[in-house]
Amino acid sequence: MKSKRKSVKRASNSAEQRLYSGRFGFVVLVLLLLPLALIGRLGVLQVVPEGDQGFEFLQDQGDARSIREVAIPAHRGMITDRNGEPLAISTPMTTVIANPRLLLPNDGESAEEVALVEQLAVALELDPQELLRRLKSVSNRQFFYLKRRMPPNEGERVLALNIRGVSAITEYQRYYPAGEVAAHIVGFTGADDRGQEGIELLRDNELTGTNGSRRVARDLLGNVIRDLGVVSSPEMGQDIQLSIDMRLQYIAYRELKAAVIRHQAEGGSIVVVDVATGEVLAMANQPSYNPNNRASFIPGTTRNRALTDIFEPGSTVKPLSIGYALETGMFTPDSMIDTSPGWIRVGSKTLLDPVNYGEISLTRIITKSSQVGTTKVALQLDPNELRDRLYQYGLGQRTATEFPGESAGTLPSQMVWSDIGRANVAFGYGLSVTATQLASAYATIGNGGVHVPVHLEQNDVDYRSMSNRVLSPEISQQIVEMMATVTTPEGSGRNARVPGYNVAGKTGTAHKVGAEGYMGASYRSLFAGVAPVEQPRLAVVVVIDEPTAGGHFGGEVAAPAFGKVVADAMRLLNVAPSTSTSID
Amino acid sequence: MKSYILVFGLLIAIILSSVKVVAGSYSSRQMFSQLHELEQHYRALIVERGRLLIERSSLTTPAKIEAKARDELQMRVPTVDEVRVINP
Repeated sequence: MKSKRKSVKRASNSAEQRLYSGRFGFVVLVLLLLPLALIGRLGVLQVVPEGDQGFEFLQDQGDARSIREVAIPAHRGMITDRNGEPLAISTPMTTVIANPRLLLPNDGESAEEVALVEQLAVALELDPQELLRRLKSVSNRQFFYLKRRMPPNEGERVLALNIRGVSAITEYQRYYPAGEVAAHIVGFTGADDRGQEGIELLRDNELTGTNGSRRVARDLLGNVIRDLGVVSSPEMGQDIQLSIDMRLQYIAYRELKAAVIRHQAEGGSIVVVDVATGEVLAMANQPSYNPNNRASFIPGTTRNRALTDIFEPGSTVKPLSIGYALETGMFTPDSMIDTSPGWIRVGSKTLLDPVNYGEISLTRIITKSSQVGTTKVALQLDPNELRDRLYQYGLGQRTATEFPGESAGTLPSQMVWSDIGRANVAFGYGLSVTATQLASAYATIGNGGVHVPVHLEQNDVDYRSMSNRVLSPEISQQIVEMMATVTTPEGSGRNARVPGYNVAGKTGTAHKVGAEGYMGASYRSLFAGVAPVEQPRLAVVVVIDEPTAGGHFGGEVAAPAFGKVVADAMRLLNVAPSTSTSID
Repeated sequence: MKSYILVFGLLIAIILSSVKVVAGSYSSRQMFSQLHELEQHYRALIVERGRLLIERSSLTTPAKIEAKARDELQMRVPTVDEVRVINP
């Protein structure tokens, strides 16, 4: 039945049938081949990795359009004092950035965009007109800082507006809790978070961390849609611990500021050194600045005068030269020197004492700071040996602080010494030192004659192993006792007395040097000393630059500040008073 | 018959392992988001710590303590006569 119908059909239009069935078969074949070709191509793309535009190439191209490496910011290390009190600390802040191309696709011409910018400006607390103008000027760029370093909660508020093209990055803000008190030591960082002054500059490499990075997939708008893991984890900056004791630093700063104001001085420095370890416990300078407010910086206030400014140390060198005189064996503290008639001619110069002291002992020369007496002693000393002693005390060379911009000072080095040159060195002219170097010399005397390099940081360096003996313990004890007479009621430094403690020191007053030699009425008032006399713990140097009110002598200007600093320092260091009632 | 059992067993194994894959990738995604949350928490804690450190040190500056001790609490440094040293 079936075959019969077929044959009938075929019989009815056989010629047409043959023609069309061939075509039909061809079309079917072509239609079948087309998807096969597509599947084949798909297969090639999916399976064959190499070759022109294989799947690896395509994947790379896709990734290149969506996968980005973003930095994981590493924060800068802390700077702390010896007790761990922060002196410089970084806190994360939110910096709001914009992609102007996405934010203003119509270049800020449409009313919609103006409204958007206005909304943004309100959240950022910026002027809307100004912001729009600035955004328009960068409308074809892809990156623009809207506002840098906002407090994180305020930054969140801006991001919560969810404006297209606005995003945030984390940046760190440096904060200095101690402010102006420790500003010169700590220094500050610039806008790029790199150190510019002080320890921030010196230890920049250690303090700076290494940013890590993270791979993320971003969508068209720059939003992170998938985290692909950490490429390298961030390395946080190391903390730096200083030898500064914040409490002592504050006391030194307070008293220095008070003295500078009281005497209407141009500036000044106080340096406190632990004699046994060579650690700087306090280093204060005036004028100072607030490192938290860069707008307040006045040029000249940012330098650490205690380490950068050199001056002639004047009479404060006398204990050092008298120490050398004792060392030669030619003198004892009780050797008598005839200072009458109260003046002496050396070369073309006449050196004067305020009054004729007559025949006085070596100790009394220190007590009264006799120019004539020191000169007479100095003329019997070998100037080159004396110069070498001063060098061993740390004068004329940089300290172990490695502080940026530190001055080395100068020591005279003549082949042939004139008499006046020899006398000058002995009472502190013709050489220049920094306040810290002077403190280093006095610390050496206080430490029984052993010089420990003066440093500012607590680190693994063994400074004691670098120490050297300058004087014998006996002679340094004799010098301390001689200097103790300076703070007695008849000494030149009686204002440095500390109730309850015996302190030793030496006053100094030096003419300032200007462009044309010594300046007539400009002085530097100095006081350097150690405390307590029985077992010195601290060496303190006070320098007041150009006092214009209330005298200019070291005994009047610098000595009272020394006394006040030492009084509080002794209490803080738990040093038992020498003159109080004891209960056994 | 034996081969049927083998095929059936493998089928079960495939289903089980595919369920396991789904469960595994699900938990990995969950753990990843948890990690993310913890990282965010960690960052927030660092921010908080820095803020608190700053707050503490600005509240305990020697100047503030001194002013408070002297003016509010009427404290002063004992004079030499008031000090007794107890020798052990």
